[in-house]
Amino acid sequence: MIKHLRRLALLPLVLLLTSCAKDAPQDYLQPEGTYAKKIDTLQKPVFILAAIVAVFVFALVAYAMWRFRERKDDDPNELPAQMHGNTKLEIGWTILPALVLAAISAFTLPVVFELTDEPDEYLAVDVYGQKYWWGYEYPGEGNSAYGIEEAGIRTANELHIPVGVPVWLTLRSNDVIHSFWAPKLNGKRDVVPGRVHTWKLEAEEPGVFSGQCAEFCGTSHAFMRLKVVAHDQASWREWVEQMQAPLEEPEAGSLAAEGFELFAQKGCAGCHQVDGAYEEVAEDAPAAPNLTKLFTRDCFAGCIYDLTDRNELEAWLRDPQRKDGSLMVIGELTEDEIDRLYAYLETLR
Amino acid sequence: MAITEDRPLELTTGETVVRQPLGAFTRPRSTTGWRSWLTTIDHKKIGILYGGTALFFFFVGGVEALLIRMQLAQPDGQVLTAGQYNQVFTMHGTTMVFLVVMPLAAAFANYLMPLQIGARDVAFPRLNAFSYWTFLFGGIVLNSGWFLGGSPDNGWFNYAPNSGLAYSPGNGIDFWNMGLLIAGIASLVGAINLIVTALNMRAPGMTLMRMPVFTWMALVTQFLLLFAIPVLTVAQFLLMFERLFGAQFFDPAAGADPLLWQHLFWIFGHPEVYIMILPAFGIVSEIMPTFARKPLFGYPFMVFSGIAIGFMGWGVWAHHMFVSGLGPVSVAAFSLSTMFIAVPTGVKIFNWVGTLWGGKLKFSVPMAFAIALVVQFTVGGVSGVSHAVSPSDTQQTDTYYIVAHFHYVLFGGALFGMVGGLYYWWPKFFGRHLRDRLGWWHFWLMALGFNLTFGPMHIVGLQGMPRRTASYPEGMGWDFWNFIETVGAFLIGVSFLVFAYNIIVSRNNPPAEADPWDGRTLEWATSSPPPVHNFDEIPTVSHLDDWWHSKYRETDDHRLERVEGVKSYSSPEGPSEPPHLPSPSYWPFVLALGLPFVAYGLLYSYWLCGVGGVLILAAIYGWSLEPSVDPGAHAHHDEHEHGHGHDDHDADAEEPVAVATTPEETTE
Repeated sequence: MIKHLRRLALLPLVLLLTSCAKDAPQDYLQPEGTYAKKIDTLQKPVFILAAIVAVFVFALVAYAMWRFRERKDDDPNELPAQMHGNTKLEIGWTILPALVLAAISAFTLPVVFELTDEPDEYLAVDVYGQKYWWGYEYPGEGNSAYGIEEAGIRTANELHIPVGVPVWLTLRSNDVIHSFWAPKLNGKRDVVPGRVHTWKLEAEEPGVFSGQCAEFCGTSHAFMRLKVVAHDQASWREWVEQMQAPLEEPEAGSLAAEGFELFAQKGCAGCHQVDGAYEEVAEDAPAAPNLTKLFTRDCFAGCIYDLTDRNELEAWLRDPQRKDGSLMVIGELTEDEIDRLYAYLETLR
Repeated sequence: MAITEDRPLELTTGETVVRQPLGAFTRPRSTTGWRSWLTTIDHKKIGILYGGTALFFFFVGGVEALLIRMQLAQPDGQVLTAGQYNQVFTMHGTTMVFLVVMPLAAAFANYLMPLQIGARDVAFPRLNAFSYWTFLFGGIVLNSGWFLGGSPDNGWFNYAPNSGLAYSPGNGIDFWNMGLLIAGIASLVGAINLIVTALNMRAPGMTLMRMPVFTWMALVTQFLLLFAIPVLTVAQFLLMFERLFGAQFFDPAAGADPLLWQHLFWIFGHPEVYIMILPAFGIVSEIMPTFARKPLFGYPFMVFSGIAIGFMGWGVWAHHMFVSGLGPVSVAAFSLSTMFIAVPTGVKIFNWVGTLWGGKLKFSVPMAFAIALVVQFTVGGVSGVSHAVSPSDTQQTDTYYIVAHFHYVLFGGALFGMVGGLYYWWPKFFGRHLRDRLGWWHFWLMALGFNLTFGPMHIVGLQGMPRRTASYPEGMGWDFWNFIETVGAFLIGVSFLVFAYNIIVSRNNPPAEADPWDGRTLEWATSSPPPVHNFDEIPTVSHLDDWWHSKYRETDDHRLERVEGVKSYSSPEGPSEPPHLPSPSYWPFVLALGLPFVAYGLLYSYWLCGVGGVLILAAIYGWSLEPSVDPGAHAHHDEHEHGHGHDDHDADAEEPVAVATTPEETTE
């Protein structure tokens, strides 16, 4: 019995060792952003302390089980000393853990406030959560230092940020509670309808950081994903420039021009804005991603499909309900219509 | 005051005059057969009903768990659609919390508390029966979604505003709401009953500090229920009025804050987890001393730490809301309070180690489960401390790291403890042991399966796998451990098949003794199973662990010596004078039955509400007006219910009622 238990006790150790995975894009034990690292400097020591306490308890139990086990040659009538307790010891193991926890608290409290403090300078982004995708708006006001013009930038699914700059997120929900989470950059923060929350991110190196909604929000909660793309200075300027460059009108008579017309005729413009072309959406339309610079992105529909693969976008246009609970309800499109629409969407760069 | 006939009934013996209540107010008499279960008010039978029903729902919740694991065994699982998955995980959680762990704890509390305090039954036996039937009907209403167009699918915590009509238009959420409102009545009423029982019906000499630890933990649990359930009830009424009658309690467009639901739910929800664990702590505190042959180490600290957990549990709820946008001051405050609740819990772990220390340890199957609780709860406890660090929790919350934590404390802790309790008290409940060898197979398969399922969840959680997600994509690094977790889950399933088999074959085991484990508390001082009246004579208590003290005394050289000829408090001959016992009644069942009618009526047709209302009114009148003790009843009690095999009397036969009513029996 004891032998088996000792072996079992090794299991958590084994598990711990194997947790250093290489390809885990949301692994926050290997943080990359400033705030995730700050959290980690608190998290890892507490884990180690927790492991020490747990192993200590296991050792005590295992030892007691071995040392005080009933042996075959024991006198069955002999009973062990009927100890009722040891007040000093019990007070000790009440106070000592309390002191350890007090110490952990002392380290914890400052970080709570650091994580919510508003930085002096930052790139401001408005984040909108709705079933089942993330939208982002970069207001012009206050963001001129980062190249954002008055009109601002609107995008979805991928949050682009410059490296080394605190990004101050203002989080809102357009329907139910969601939670914005890019693990390698920071913890998560809920978006709650009727409330405005703030949170921050800062990337230290360029990269793409995977994330997803982390508060159950309905049928396709699992499919409400996101990416944070961190750019170095040069790349950031390029991205901002491209996002703010006016769209080229599709060449007259081309497939794309026909797609442009279809975009209105088929009702796409009733929900999806294209800046400079389709600005007004229907009054009761559900929130839908702004498609102005759609083809600067490489994922869509809550970042679960690959925009660089034509087949995926076509499959989506054939049936947007392939994502359960998607609010994009459209009539049937013919293959021809899909081709034209695709041609038009491809010009949105 | 019952409605009676004036003229005497004529009896074959002609011996006495009996005034027989009329019609609906006649108390049922069955002591065997299905009718006896329907009308029982005996706390022991009610305990068994709770336990059996809980085990049935455990099977249901277990199948739901296996469906989850099948879906998540591989990336992009196709076993369930997202909509189906959401129903399954919601029902899994809701079932395990409300229909398994809570009623299993109620089963033990019901069966054992009166025995442990030397009483014959609980304070309000009919109310006790009502609690059980209400729980059963609540469980049925909760599960009716599977048959009536869709189960609740918004998680066991059912956050607003997704729970509202706009986003959850079907009846699924209503089944969650109504089912739990009904089950909540059961818990609340049961809490009142057991509190009054523990405070008022202890045997002479049993001061509070001589009560067994299980009874203490059960008592603290009842106080928690008393104050926590109404909070959930309020939340559920607000939701019900929103969904059924157009209220706007959680509608942001009307100015409401959806966080109101979260606060109400977690003010209930956190004490709820202590409601689930404290009874198992009590069970372990009974098992360990028995198999260590020495008393529980530090009885006063164990009692007071349980009370401390009860109090402190009210001050930590918002640790479930660390990322909900509370603001740093609230987060900091709850982070602190959450850290410190680890102190009384830690005390218990160390006191259990102290119980083992210096003992003469017998590794029985119950002892294995008890030790497993100590080890596994420690894992869950330390991971809990890591969540108390709120900055870390902003990463950990809503991931599988949390799922790992609560399964370690609830399954590795509460369920392991309660299964250990089943093995420990099975001979007492049913008069036969469960088989040892099968018990060991059950234990090892369950321990291995459990740790294989939930251990790796710590890892994938830390690798960023969120909870409540119907599938996960490839390339996240989660594939391997998810597969292992699924294997582990099926092992758990197999272990429970072994348990079921053990239960079935153990019906053929030889009869068990009254005190097979050389126990310390009063339930071992009566036969296995106890007679319906529990003890022939109410014991007089002079020590903590009084039964142990009547079996052993200290010799001059401080050794313990067995006292010869200690008799149990029950014998085959029965008590010298028939004890006064309450009679069975069917009104608790009828009253409980009215509730689901009202619930379904609110959803489908107010006529059903009317039927429910009539049932409820009729039951209230019937309950109040039936005679307190059926005049003919207690003649039967000393002929039946002694140990096994005396089921050949059918109390419904036309036996002459030869006992006159005595004045004291008709008083209220």
